Amino acid sequence: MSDMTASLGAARASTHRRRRSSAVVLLLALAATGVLWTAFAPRGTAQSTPDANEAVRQGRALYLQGCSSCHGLNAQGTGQAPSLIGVGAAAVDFQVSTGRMPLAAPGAQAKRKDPVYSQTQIDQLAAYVDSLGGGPKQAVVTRNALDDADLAQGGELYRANCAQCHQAVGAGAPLTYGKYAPDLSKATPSQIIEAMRTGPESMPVFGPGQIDDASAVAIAKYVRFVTEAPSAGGSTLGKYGPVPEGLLAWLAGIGGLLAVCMWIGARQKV
Amino acid sequence: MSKQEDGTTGPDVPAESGSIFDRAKPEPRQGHDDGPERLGTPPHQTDSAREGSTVLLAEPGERSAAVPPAHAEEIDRRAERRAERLVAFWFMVSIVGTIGFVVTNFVGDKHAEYYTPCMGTALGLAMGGIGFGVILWAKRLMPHEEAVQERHPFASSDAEIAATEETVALGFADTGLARRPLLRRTMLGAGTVLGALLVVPLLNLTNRKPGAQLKHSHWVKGARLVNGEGNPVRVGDIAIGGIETVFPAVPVTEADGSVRFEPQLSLHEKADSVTILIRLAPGENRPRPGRENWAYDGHVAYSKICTHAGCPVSLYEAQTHHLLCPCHQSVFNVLDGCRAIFGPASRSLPQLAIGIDDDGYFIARDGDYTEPVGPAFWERP
Repeated sequence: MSDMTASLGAARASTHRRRRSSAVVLLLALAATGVLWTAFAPRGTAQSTPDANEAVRQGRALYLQGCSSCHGLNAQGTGQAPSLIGVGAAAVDFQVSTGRMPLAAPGAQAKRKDPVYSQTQIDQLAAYVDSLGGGPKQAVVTRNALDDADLAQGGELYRANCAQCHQAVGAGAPLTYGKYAPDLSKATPSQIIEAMRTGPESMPVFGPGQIDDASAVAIAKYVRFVTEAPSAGGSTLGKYGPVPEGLLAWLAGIGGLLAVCMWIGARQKV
Repeated sequence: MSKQEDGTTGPDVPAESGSIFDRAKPEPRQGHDDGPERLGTPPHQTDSAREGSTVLLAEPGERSAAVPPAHAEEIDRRAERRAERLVAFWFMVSIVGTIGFVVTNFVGDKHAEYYTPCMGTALGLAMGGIGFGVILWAKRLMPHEEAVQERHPFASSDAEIAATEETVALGFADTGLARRPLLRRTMLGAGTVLGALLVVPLLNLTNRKPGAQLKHSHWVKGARLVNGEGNPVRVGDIAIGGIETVFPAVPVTEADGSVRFEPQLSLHEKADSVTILIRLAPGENRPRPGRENWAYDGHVAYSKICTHAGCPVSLYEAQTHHLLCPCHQSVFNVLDGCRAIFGPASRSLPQLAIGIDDDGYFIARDGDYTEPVGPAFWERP
């Protein structure tokens, strides 16, 4: 009997131990899960989603106020302006940061002017348009990326792909029916890359399949280089090359020399 | 000058002081007025024209034959001093310019935009100052005289003519040409043959035709479309609204049976086969009859060489789908088979039929262009 009680007591004790140990394991597992959760929880999403939504909401408000009269209440486009669905954030950033949008007046081509919106507002507009459908993202060109870019390669690519319209040193040139390839001297590197990726107005698209991101930065670096290069000879006459230079040389230069010759040869008047 | 002729320009000079101008009259003028030998600028026809000259009056000491009235001389001295100061001013300008040039050279920032123009302006003042000063000196302070120089007769003297004739005759006799018929004939023959050389350039114009080389380019059937770096292009590389300049990479079968693609990128290969590959949005292309399957998935390929003067037609307007030639503003409508719609070009750009090979790369599906690329030529069909 005593044996039995003893064995019973032992069994009961062991059952108690098992229950206790499983409770401890459970507690430990719960604690570990909590620790792991705090360690690996995707907190970025948890925090940024409201911000992104906020940017889209703000962007939509700006859009409805400033853009919807031409591009339509849902950016679906109207007879006056194209649809913005799928154009991407890069197109918004390019068009608005260069001041081309909002359009000052309808015409052959939108002119570059001072931007109407701040960069924050532009980012919000871009977030809204991006939320309507994918497309090229805003270009971010860091100082390091520009420093590392291959200037010579950028020059080769520029001459092969860009120079026919934008002229050898980015001074711009006319196209047909009042359109023109604009002067690139005011374009920032990110605007240059966004223009390549989105093909604004008459410009063809130069996608990443043709010109990868590193080459695009190299082209932007080259454009900055040639447009910022100091002019050692004084006035550049618009960098349009031999035509204005020849015109000035013949009219002012030769004309001035002729005038001096006539003055030397003229009879003394008193 | 016409002002001087009416006598109004020298209001302070008395008209009766005209006798002083006699020296200024060119001595040989009498009897030579209409002579053809006269050199130089013809003198003024009227004496009244010279009366305006204060310069002559400024040298009264030398011309004491007739002394002008005292007050006129006083005025002339004042004018002379004014002229002196003006000349001196220009010499000072030159000094300032030279100093400015040296200072800019040593002090100026050689990389600044103003540097070269400043150097040029300073040097211009340094040299021009002396030039202007000297010219003003000559014009305002020196006596104005018009000189006439007689031209010596052009004909040689009779003795000289006779001596020359004799020398030539003697030299001819020394050659013995008259009594050496062999030399005479061979020399004449050599001259005649040499003269016939003149006809050779004309023959060159007639007997060299370009043959078939203007009628075909380096595109062959199955040649891949490669970009300027020689990389083959495939569907998806070019975005809708994009453009790429492509060249042929011709297939070469190796000894082991494998096929290698050789980009044709030398200048003379590029010159006739350069092609633009444009990706249009689906449904935009309006192919010509018989060319319905020359495009592939919205991609169309046309010769990049303008049919007017052979410039590269590369200004593509993605919205209007116009290709603009930068040389003479010919415009081609890509959607309409690159028909010439503006400018001096009259023929459409030739189209290249494209497809893709088994690896997905663009190829020239049917081979070369079906018509000669580039400007017209005489033998063009």
